[in-house]
Amino acid sequence: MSETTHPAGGLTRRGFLKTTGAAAAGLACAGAVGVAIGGGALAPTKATADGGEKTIYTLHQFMCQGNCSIKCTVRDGHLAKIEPSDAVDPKYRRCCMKGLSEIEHVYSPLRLQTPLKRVGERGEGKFEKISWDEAMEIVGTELKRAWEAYGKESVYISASNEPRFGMLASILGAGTGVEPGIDRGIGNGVDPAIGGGGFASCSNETRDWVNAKTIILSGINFLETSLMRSDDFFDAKRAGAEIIVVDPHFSTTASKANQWIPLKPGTDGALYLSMISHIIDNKWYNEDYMRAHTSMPFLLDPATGELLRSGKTPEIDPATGEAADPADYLVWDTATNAAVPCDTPGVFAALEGTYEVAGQKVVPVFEQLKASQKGYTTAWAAEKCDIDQEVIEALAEKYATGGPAYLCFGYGGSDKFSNPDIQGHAMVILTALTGQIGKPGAALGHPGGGQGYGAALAAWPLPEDMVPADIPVRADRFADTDAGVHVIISLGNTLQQYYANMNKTREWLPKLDFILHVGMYDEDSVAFADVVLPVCSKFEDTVEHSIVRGGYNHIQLSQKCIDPLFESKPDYDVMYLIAKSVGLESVLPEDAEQLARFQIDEATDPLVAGITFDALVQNHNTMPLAGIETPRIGYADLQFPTPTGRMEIYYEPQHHSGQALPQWEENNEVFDGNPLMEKYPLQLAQTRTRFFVHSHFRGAAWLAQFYTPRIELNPQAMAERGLEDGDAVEVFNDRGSFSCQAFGNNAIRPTSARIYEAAWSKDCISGNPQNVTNDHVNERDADLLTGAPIPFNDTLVEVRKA
Amino acid sequence: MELLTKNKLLTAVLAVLAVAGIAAYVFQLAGGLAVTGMSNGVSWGLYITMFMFFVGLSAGGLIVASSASVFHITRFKAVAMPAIILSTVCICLAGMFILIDLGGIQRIWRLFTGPNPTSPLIWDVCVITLYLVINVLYLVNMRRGNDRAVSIISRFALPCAILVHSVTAWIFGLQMAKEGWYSAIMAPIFVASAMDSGLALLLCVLAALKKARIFDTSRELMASLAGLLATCIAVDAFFIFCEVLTMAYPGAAGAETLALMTSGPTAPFFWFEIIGGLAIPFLVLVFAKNRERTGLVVGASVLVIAGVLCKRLWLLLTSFIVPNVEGAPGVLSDGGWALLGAYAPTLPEVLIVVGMPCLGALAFMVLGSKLLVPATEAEKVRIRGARRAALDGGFDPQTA
Amino acid sequence: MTKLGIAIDLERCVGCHTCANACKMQNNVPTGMLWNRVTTEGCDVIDGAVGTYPNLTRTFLPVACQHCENPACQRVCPTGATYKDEMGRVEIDYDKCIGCRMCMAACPYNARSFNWEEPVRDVDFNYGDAEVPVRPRGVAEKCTLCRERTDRGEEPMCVVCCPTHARIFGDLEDPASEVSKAVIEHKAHVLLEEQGTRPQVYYFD
Repeated sequence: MSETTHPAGGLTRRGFLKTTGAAAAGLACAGAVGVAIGGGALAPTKATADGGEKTIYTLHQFMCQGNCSIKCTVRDGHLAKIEPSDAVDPKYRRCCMKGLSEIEHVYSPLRLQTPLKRVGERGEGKFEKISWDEAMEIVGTELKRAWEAYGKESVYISASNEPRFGMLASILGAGTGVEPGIDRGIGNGVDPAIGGGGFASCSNETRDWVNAKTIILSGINFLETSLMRSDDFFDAKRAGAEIIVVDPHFSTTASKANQWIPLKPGTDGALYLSMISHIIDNKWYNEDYMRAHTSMPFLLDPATGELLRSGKTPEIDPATGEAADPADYLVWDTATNAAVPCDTPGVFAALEGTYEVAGQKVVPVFEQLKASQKGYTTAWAAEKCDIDQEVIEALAEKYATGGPAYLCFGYGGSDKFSNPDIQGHAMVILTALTGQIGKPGAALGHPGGGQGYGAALAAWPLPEDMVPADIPVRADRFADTDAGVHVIISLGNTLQQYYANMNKTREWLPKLDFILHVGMYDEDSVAFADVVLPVCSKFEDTVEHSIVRGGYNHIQLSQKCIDPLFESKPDYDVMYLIAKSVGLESVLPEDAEQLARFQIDEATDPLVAGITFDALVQNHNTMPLAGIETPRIGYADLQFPTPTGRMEIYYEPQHHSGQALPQWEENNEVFDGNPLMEKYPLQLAQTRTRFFVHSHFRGAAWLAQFYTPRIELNPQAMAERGLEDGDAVEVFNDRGSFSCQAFGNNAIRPTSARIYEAAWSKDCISGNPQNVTNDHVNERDADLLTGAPIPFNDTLVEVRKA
Repeated sequence: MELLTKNKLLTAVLAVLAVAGIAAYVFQLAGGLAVTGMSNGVSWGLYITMFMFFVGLSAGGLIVASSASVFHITRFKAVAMPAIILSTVCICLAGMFILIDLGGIQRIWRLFTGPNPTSPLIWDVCVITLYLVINVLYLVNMRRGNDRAVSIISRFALPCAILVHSVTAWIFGLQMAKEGWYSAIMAPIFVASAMDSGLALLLCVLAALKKARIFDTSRELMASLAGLLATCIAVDAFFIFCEVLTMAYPGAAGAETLALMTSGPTAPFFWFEIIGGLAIPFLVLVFAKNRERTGLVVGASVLVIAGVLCKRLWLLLTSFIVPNVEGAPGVLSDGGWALLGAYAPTLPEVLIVVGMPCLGALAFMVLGSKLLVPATEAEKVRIRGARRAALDGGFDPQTA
Repeated sequence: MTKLGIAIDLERCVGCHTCANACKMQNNVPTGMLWNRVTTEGCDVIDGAVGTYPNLTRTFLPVACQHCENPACQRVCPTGATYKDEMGRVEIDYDKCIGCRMCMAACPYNARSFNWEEPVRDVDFNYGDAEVPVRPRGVAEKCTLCRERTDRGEEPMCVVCCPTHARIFGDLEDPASEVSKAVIEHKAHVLLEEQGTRPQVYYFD
């Protein structure tokens, strides 16, 4: 083959004249017959008379959070064209190359076509075709067997990108979870302060970016991962916002930003900690905001780390029967020189100083913060992060004094390290110090997808006893910790995508009693399954409308474009069949359209006012939510869903681990001075890309024409290893290895290696990138809202020519 | 058929290769040009190279032959017949390579129903057709011994020969998009290359015919033609030097292309042309003594021909190496993320490129066998009869 | 006289290749071929960067047929298959194309692709616009400025789908059109201006 062209690869400038393949070809020219000279037959693609052409408005898939409404052309029963829906406001008329690639992706030869039954070993990938009846017979038998032997909680539903099985865990009484170890970690540090659930969605939507003066994007490659909202980025820039990207690599977003701060991977926390110090040292904080809306004035005992409370009797929540936090924290009233409850009218709370309450020496949280920040100077961070001290100081000044500002992160950039909660905690403290939240142009959080208005839809009422099982162990720990799970229902490519250290996964999976895989494509997870059920894309359906979505500022309804291909079935139908296999289908609506109608028509969210199923159908299946004209501003009333309604930045329960206020903690693998670096000097970054959503779209040939899995190194790192573009390399560490092509790219930090996350094994030369990823669990796991993140990027490797 | 029967082994080899070439072409018709090594990045390859090469080779013959009449260089008259046969065969081959290169040959009638007068390819079609007609007329009249007609035709033949090379040069020389082609001196270079390669081929053929005792050329005439060849080489070298100097001097885009020629993937062809195709043959032939030695003359001639072939290769391919817009849609090939072009001829392509000249050689041997032997009296009678019959408008059973 | 053209805001181009796939779909472009392609300027790899870490720059450059006012491809086409139409677009009459590839050698932008073999598609049907002719083996093809769409008064598919609205389409002869205004306001440039082809695709930062 040519040296110059690689299948979807890079190129070299040599080898223009390839050695002729003539000799090798051995073509039987003389035998060539049947000269086909066509010509002239230039008929346009026009539909045949009987097939015809129809236009259908529907929605595109879920995981990317693009929430696109699309217009499809179906010709002769084929999905022939996809374009942005013209039924929505021009602002929302979007469809990216992933959506457009569905033309091919839906018909991909990699689709799972029929139910399959394993005939080889687990992981071998040997199957035989079976009928749906046979498959559901096995599923029912296996589920019942597990129920009898170990109870319902022995079944775990591992949910990935597509398909969507909302009610199955409740119906089966199985354990489930959205695998909280992935893509969230910073939120663990942010959300306890503002009462969130751990994902730390951005408090304002991105349409509001135009009102900001400074937008700091920390480790989020927004222009790729939220491509459908990239307009907001440029509109903000044009309106005068300064966009600053903090990223170890020169990402697409970094190249379009006003400033790029290239920091050492996994050191984001140090940067924000030092910004706190610098803002405090320069008194750039907002005392009024701190007093009124944060826990900065709350008194605490430095000896015990406990906050002082007045001892109010807690109220019992009638719904849960649990005691609510009385929110009775004390502050030091400078007028009366006494400790009073924080909600005392007219109180002017001290932020600094040392006081005595009942013979105890107490200090406000802010005073404690100042003390705990002592070591975190900008000079310290400059060395930790490998950036100039002046850059950090300018960033802090801009954020604190430069007008409305955003602090954004997310989509797995710095989330995928061992302790990103410290970064999140530092960020929320920066917000609390400056009051950069709850107003136009000022917000904190994960802006992925835009974070616009989202409406709550009605939930189909299931019998009260039908609730998911509470499994105390997170799924990514099953390999190490016996959680009593014996059956896995894997929806999508979870077994590869949500578990680091894949060799460990491979050892664990054979110990299970039964693995049911439900998915669209022949992904890595399929090989481990005992039974495989093929679901179809959202373009294929058995009813006219089956999915309703409270998408970005809209309610969207799906519409069938084509019949299910091969023997696949829509999500809902498969969920129904699984419920039926154990005799529980009667609790479900008969078909998905009934469910969709119920979800809309019974919705009580005021945002859904005036939107009904029938109205949606009349409006090309998309309608804007009520009141979306102005961008969503979260916490505009500065009331946070915490017990005190304030930003509670002191994490009392974490005092035992020293993280009541954020303290720097090195990563597990990627840190200076780790002796492992001598053996494995490169940090492996598995980053998100515009081309895929985790492993979804890996099977799309129209995307593979742009990118196939390869490890990217800085040309300097390539040269040190004697590598040339396109070389096959082995990426390895003590956990395992995988092989793929290597390419030099200046955008990569010289001490890192980059690959886009969740590559399928079949697209690598051998192995899977997850073979090397770190599955370390931070010791503070139990303290963290969603548990410790899976530190995929806290991974050291070496690369050598394969 | 004397040439064929006397050289059975050669004939057999040529025939086998020619048949293989034709089969390869049939294969190409079936599979499309995808069976070649050409791609969007390098959209022309060996076929167009051979087209250029054979247009050039056909020149020598016609120019020598027509010079005999136009400039009254009577000693050249002796070799006029083999020269014109050679010229005719070569121009046919050139035309064949153009047709072989067409991806939509079934639509070729469009050339005649809707020609675009601004296209150099249309000019070339016209000029090559005219050139072929002149060659055939030349042959017919020479064979018939009609000196007056030959004299008139040769006055057209000479400018036409110049024109056919110029137009071929303009196919490339007028393409502003290709730095290595876009040059006013392209036509003179083509004419000069045509003269030296054509003459060199003629010398080789004459030597072969002499050895085969088919057609004798005097040692003096060989030496004289070799002297002319040396002059042509010098002129060719001079033009190339002019071009290279113009490319290099501003140190701009041209210099980059030149750097590719002298040190890039096509550099071996460039240097072979400069050293093997120009310097060595010139240094051999510049000495009168050397020109007397047939072996040296033939050796130098072979080098000249090989050099010109190399020149065609670097001239064509160098301009494809680096596209103006790297990674443009028209560079995409193999479905990959190619930014640059790449080219390697495939087996069918090589078979065609080898087979067609073999077919040409066979054609030359057939025509040579027929036309190089002195016309017999019977033939002359027949010819005269035919002429009379033509004049009378009658029918002569003897010629029918 | 109409002179349709596109102005592309390179500042807003994020290199997502949506335009490439939008074009591929709309025009039934076969496997291994793109009429419209986004390059990373000066880079050997997709999403590469120019410079030495961390002093880097990156410019995405979408390239398709430039619909030149003085089209080199049209000049050299022997059969008139390539022509400049009344809307100012450079178009190909596939019925007339003999596959000589003069146009490919002449185009300074390498905008053209050739059907070296019988076109193959990833799916077993013709996708995209029903009006778009299917091209046979042996003809050249390229961006038509979505002739079928623009004839109907619609915008080209790459313009419609561009997620950042980096593409402005319209009549360059009409001084009031958005595209004309963008060209003047941003002092837009063309690719390879020195070639004198006078492209109708403009770029600005």
